[in-house]
Amino acid sequence: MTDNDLIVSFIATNPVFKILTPTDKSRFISKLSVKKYSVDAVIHNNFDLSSSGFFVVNGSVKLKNTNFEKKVNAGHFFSCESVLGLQNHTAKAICIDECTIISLSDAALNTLVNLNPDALAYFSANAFENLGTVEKQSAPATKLKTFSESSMFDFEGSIWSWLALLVCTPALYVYMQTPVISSDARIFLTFLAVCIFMWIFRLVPYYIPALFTILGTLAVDIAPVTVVLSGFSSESFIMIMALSAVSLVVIKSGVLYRALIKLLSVSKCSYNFYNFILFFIGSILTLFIPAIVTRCQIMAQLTNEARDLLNTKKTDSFSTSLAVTGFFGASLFSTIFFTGSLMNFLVQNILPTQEQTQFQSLGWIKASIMMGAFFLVGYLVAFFAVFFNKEKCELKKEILISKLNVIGKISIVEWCAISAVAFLSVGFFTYFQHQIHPAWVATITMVALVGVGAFSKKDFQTGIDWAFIIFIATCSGIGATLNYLGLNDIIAKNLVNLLGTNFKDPFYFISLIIISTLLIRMFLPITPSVLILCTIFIPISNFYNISPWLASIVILVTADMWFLPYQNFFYVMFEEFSNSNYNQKKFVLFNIIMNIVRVGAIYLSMPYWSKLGLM
Amino acid sequence: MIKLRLLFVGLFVLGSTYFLVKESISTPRILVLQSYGSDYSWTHDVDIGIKKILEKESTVTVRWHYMDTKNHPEKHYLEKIGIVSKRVIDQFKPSVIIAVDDDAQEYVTKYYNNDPKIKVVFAGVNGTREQYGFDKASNITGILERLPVEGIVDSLQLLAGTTNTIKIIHVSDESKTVKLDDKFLHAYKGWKNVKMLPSHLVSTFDDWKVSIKKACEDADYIVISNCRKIYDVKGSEKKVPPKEIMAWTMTNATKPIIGMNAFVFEDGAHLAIATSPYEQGEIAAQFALDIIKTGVLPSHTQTKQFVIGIDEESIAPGGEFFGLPKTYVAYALYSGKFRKKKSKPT
Repeated sequence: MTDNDLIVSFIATNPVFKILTPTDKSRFISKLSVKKYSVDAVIHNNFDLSSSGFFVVNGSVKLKNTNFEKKVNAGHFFSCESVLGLQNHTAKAICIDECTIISLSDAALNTLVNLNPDALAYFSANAFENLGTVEKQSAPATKLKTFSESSMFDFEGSIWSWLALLVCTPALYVYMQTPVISSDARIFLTFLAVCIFMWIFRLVPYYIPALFTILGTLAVDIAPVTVVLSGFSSESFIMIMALSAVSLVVIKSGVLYRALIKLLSVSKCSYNFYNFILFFIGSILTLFIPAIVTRCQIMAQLTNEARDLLNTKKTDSFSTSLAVTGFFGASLFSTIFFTGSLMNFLVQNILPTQEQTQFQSLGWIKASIMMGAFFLVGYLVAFFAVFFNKEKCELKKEILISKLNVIGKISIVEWCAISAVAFLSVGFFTYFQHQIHPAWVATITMVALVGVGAFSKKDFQTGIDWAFIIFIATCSGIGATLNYLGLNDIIAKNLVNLLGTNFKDPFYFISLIIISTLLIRMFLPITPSVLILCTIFIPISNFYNISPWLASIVILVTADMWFLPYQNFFYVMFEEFSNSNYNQKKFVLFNIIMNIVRVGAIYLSMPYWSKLGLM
Repeated sequence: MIKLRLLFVGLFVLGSTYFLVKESISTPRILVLQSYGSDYSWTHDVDIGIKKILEKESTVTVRWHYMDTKNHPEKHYLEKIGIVSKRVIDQFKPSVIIAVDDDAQEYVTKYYNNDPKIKVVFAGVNGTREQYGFDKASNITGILERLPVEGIVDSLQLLAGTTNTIKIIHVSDESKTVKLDDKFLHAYKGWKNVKMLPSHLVSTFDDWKVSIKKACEDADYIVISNCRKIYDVKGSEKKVPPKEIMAWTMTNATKPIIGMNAFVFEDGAHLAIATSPYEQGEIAAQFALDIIKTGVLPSHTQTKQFVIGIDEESIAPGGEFFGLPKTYVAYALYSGKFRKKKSKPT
């Protein structure tokens, strides 16, 4: 029996894997390894850093510390302390006989306990047995891994920020007492100032300030309910909800994983080709999964998978190239497709009504496709310049075949996911023919998925990012109220007076947007930055000879740029999901090249936009 | 069991898709293409007229597109918005386009002359049908906008109370629409005892002030059709707010001012005898519905109604329009264009 067969058999028969789906089982194949030890061989010492857990296939192992000794026979796990958050092993492990051991990495153990809570209980009991007898005097303290201290006080706001809020906003209310601003507008602007203040100093989670603003507006009755809550009846609201449901089914079904394994197994074994496949999958996902963070999570899993299969090390250039491919595959086209980012929905809701109808899904792609082409060309040139690798790689084809065997035939849920994506594609790309809003196409798809049981009530409650959906709806309400109170015009007039006619040339005006966005993004997260910048630039864009949509896409593209990881939440998440298994410095440098590509693409697309009448 | 469930869900998807697509494709679509922005009083009132008719018809999908050329008269913008509007038409594929005012015809609809798939109903057109080639187009009809000269003549005769010659001067900005209106005023044959003196069409506020003063010396009445494109100085892009222009005019003019558009009254004039924007909207919308229902284009027509706006102070004893009958007040009240006397602080 080969090592691979042993692993497949272990996964297929061991009870801790029993409740896992075939896709999840298949994922574990490349995460496990088989090791053979001779008599008296030391598997690990007491207090060694814990990087794996173990399973005895043949033979027996002795666990020993100064006041504890235990024999582990074949068919049992040992040294799985990492599931308790311990960084070190709590005993020495020595082979009593010749042993065959299956080693499970920390990541694999943690994934396993996430998927099967019973496994957590089993491993915990196993680890506690040792932990209760850890030497207290002689040994260095067994350290618990530090988790982020998430609590109700986990916001960056300090007491000073709250104090500043309490002083500044009433002062602003008094300052705005001018004949130009009506009493209603003054109250609303004060609410808005509170909202922006809370965002800047991160006093509460990002969706609370906007909610506070619209509820405050309703409480003092300065705008009709239909205006303030218009975001909750918008088609964007319905579309995000429905698309989130569809994307959840696509992710859960495992169809993407199957596609990756299938593509890898049929393709020629070259590093460049693997990168191409990953980038292609990421780009396709951009069409149907609006949450970039979700795509980053999927792509991180797929890159981890590819890295495991190709047996690359963290320091390898290929590891970094895979990470780059995964991240940019998931994020590069987020502004090119309307459904590529939740931010696009937010911006579309702020646009004037007639621009909203012009830039539905297909209208949006038509207007942004040239910039997308420049992105792609720029990315490919930069990628091959930095990571070009024509070497052939060693891929364990037998592992791929084992994985495909474990996954089995395409399941009903996978068929549902494929059908849903096909239905959405046809619906979106034939919009001009049937004129049915993409939101309704997505809704029909969602209802069908619920109907066949691919999407449950629990998924509906937990799988959709309701906080962000509420945030988008409330931001739309803020935009509509600004318009209703005539504040857009006041902002526009004052800004035009301030900027004068110096920016009448679209080149200068677009440059102004880019610089302003980059500056604001140094201090603010992406969502409030985009909202504030759109409120400023959309009302004056026509005066400066560019369409409001164009102003907003320049804001979106520039807001996506980052120089330091803290600026980009998606990257931070990607780094976390991929366990930082690549050269981060090289990644960040590549990203800076891509920032230049993005800005270049904006300027190079100007003749195309001019031809479309957008500038 | 699962297969049966899948079958039923599949049937549901097919059925609902078929229903939605069928409904969407078979529902007639009307695109209202406005030359100006929705913030412009005239456009707003035309929209009211259109909505009044179309609201009765629930089986029509209507979309509005505003070209906003009043705020952006630059040639570059006009060409750009023409391209955008044509793209909107290509995407929306309307059965009928209601195109309001001249810029929509000049930059968009004239390119659809004799298009077999699209019918066009124009409204608010100050120019002629020939100017846009509509006289030779089998798919275009509508309502021409003409200044309510008959109403102005009747009113002037009532006010002057004489058969002697009444001299009037047209003072306005020099926008394209105003030039077309001015051409129409001078070509009009029914002026009776009213004499139309040479017009003063100006572009700057200083020139406006000079023109008003000169007109007060030469004429008995001054008629104003538009002052929305008056710039602060020559070559500048900064427009003077119309309310500011009318405030200066009402303070400094020694002869009565009559507006020929309702927005001139809204900006400060004491009397307006104006083309009805509601009529333009209502007729255009009715034509569009008739085309959808019968497939036949009604014959084109032109302004028949007008609206009146009156300031209460001007019809009080000693006011410049004291001689006008109470019917004017009643009609202004009905049109929602009666401005009450400002109450004095107690």
